[in-house]
Amino acid sequence: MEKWAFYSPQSLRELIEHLAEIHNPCFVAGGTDLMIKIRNYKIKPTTIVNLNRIHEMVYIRKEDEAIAIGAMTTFTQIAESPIVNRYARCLGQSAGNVGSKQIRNIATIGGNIANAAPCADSITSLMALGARVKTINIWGEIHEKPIDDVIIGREENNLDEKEVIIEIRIPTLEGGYSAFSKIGSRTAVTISKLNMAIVLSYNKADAAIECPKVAFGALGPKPFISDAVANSIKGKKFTYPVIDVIKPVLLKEVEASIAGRASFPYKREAIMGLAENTLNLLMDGIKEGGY
Amino acid sequence: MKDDLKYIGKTLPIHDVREKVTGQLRYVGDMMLHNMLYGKLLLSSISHGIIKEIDTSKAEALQGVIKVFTYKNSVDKKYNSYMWYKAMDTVKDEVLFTNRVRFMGDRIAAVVATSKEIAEEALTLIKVDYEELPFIDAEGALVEENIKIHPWGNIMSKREMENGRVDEALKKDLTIVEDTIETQKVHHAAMETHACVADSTPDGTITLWSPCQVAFQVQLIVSEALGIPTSKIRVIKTAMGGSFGGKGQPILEPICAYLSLNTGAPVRLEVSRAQAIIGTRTRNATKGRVRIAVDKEGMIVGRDIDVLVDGGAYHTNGDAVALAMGKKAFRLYRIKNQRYKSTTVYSNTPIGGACRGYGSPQIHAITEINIDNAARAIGMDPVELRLKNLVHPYDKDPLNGPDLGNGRVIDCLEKGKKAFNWEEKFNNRGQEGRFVTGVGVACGVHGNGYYGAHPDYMMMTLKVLEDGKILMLSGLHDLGCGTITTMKQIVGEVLKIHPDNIIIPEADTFYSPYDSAGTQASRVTFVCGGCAQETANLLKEKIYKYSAAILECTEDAIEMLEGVITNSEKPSDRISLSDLLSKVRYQFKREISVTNTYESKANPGVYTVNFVEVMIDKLTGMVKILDVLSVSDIGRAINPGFVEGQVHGAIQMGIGFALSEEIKLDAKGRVTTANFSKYHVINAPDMPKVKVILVEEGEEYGPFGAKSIGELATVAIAPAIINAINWALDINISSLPATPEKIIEALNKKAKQA
Repeated sequence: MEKWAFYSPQSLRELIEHLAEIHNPCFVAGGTDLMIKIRNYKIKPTTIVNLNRIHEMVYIRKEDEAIAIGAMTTFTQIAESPIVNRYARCLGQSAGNVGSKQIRNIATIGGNIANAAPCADSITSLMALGARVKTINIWGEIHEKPIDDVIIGREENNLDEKEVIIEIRIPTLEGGYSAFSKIGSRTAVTISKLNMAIVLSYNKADAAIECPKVAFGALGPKPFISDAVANSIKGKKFTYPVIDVIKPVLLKEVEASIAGRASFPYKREAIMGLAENTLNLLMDGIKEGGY
Repeated sequence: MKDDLKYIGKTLPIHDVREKVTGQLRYVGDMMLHNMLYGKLLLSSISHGIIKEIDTSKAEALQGVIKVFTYKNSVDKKYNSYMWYKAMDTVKDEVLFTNRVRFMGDRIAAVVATSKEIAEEALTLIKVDYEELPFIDAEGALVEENIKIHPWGNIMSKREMENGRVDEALKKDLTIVEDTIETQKVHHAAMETHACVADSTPDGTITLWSPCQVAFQVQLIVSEALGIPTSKIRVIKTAMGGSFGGKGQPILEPICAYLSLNTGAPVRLEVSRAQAIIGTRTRNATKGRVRIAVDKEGMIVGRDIDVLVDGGAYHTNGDAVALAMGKKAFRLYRIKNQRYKSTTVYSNTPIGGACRGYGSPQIHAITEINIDNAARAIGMDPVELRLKNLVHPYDKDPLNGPDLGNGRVIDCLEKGKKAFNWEEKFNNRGQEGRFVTGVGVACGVHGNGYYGAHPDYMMMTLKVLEDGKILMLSGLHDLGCGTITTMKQIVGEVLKIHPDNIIIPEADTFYSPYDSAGTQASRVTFVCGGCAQETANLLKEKIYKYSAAILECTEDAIEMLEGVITNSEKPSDRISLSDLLSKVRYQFKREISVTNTYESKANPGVYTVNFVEVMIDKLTGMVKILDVLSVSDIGRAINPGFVEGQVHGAIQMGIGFALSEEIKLDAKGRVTTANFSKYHVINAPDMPKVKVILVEEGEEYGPFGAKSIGELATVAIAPAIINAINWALDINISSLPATPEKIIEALNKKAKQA
């Protein structure tokens, strides 16, 4: 195996101070995808920059109109966070379904975004939540951009070579609710064949759906927002069978995304079950009074 | 029946439980020898082709690489890794390293280096230039014009067996139900991937440590492949991290021996999970067309089965699996007119081999799904139809194979029907809504060794040791199923001595007496256990004879309990086994020891019946197994805890076979499921509660009446699941695994027809 340099900065400041001198850095967060790629010789790093010692990037905070999650926060921490489960429940649900318990204990949200797998569960939720990604570069400049701009394709992000994700910011919504669900090959430890997140706000007084956002994963090279599905439920009431309203729209969305592919005949049917599961979870959330 | 037994029928822990749960058991992958080198294999990345050029120079130049082996610089002797005794008539078509690639996973090269990492990196530096040939699958192998994978053609073997007159039976005025059912290739998924260590001395003597199933077979195959006499090869069976048939054929051992001989150093050779999936052995895929004729009363009048068996790229045991499948078809139901035909073919796919059940899961999937369809066709409860046709105790094999013995499948079905509350559940059909439940049933039969097919005997020595313990010398292999403890319980029962006082080392070809077949064919409890019982009885006779002489009484008066021998007519006259040995050595100049050769005298059927309840999501096609009841006729459980463990594991494997496990290939024959993120076994969250009922009515030739369980328990679960799905949804899934995709497709087809 080739030798590589291994650098473990203890703080963001230390990282920024040294980053300029490091040639072709390969950042490791949880390492659950990176290690496989290295072992399969898919990437040959020269310098590995280990972000695991930067403890200041591990946090979940409620701020005025957003929650902020440090990029090195693990999926277990996210899934178990009362803040996430109150203000961004779909993210908690997706984080709790990523891989296995062992993976969730070490894989991080920042790493998941940078890796940009088409079936990444957390990204679908982050898309629906309108999350923004904060990054830092070698000059210490901080940028904030929509997650949709950071992930540009199958395992492709648009981060600069020396740009590091430091935080994920999720706007909170008054009276908002959300849910995520997925379909894999088995109940647990399974890669999504299809996943979905719905975020909306719901005024109990007149019970009409407001500001809906719907995202799908594993239905193309990257998770995406579906305006068509969202628009179909906008203004509808939950007393109405919402699932019947969105079914034809879902079908069109699947056709537009993957028509002609081998997985199409299955996914066009399974998405109906997925949507029903997600709406049921959403209703459960509303009944419990969570966000 | 059990009352007077001390150790039989008791759940004792497996002999190495402490080492296992504390992580102290040393597997072959933990072994370190002085100056040990590390071997890694390069497997082909294409499914069919000729190696035009192979350039190993860059790999050899890498620091730490000792040597690279390919077809150019290694021995070219043909062998068949399935062969376990010399007189066996098989086709020899394997070599250590090939220049003609016959499947993705064929062995191209091996690197020996000073570390595993260096060996792995060196693999990436080997440049292979292929001339690709068209991919031939099992169906393609039947096309005469297609390219030949081996010079003698793509048909491996054809078999035909028949009783009665099938063609006439199928012409009668009966309901004929025809199905074509496909079963897939699966991976054994043992936690420990294949590994071994070889060491050699300058005179060319090789010692191999291997988690194997048949040490004498490893010795024979190394001898065949390397062209060296067996007396130069010593094989030691190590701790086993799971096999399920996958480690039955020696795969790495001849290579590892060769690497050690040619580098003069000890070598450890291991494969990765991906290599284990593509490049070791698989369960043979099959496609079976079956036609069954039933009358209005539900009696089976005739059955015609025609199976295509995909043997994969090399011969190994493809023909034997096809033969084993056929034999099973005649030993479950009383069918007066039946024919079984098989065609086994070569294909550019992973090699077939033994896999828990050895064809039984395949033939039962084919026939038991068809039986349910026959029941549906005549509107009869599938349990009733089976009860009318199943074999009875002491039936004869219609093909004149070994007698079925005390086969109690009817008892299993009747007991299970009641315990499962079958009738009520079965009739709860036609539920509305997204989630529906359904129940299914299937029966299965398996064997007990090789009697009637191959030499089936075992040699064993039992001797009393100085401290009064008993040593068993034999060629046993514990695959993690509890073989050693089982043997201890048998010997302990005969000698009325606690099993902890029996010492049983595992197979070592230098010291172990010969065993004709190893841990294969569900023979261990029945045959090796039978040997242990008989040999222990001989030792007991000897102990009694010496005791009577020393205690000066008749042999009839002797009693032995926990190593203390007493004259029952004068209980103060007693002697320990340890003291007895001292006196025998001094007075008689003898050991208290017997060596015995035991030949199996029977091969009865073992039977299982599985009931399952499933819940299907009609929108996503996902199936949840809610409940499993496994009822097995095993004669007698030596260790009920082991038996139950075997059943649970077998059901887990069978659910995977039914629902999710599959080695998939793309259009060019490349494996697309070469790791556990794509190859899905059933894990804990999807595992149902498994209820186990045992029918213990005894079998004449089994030790204390015992028969086999480990393979049997996995043969009926998959068809039971498919039957439950088909019944609940009124569809006809005929291809395993029943993935969500196939279920949705079948539902769509049904909706279109309606």
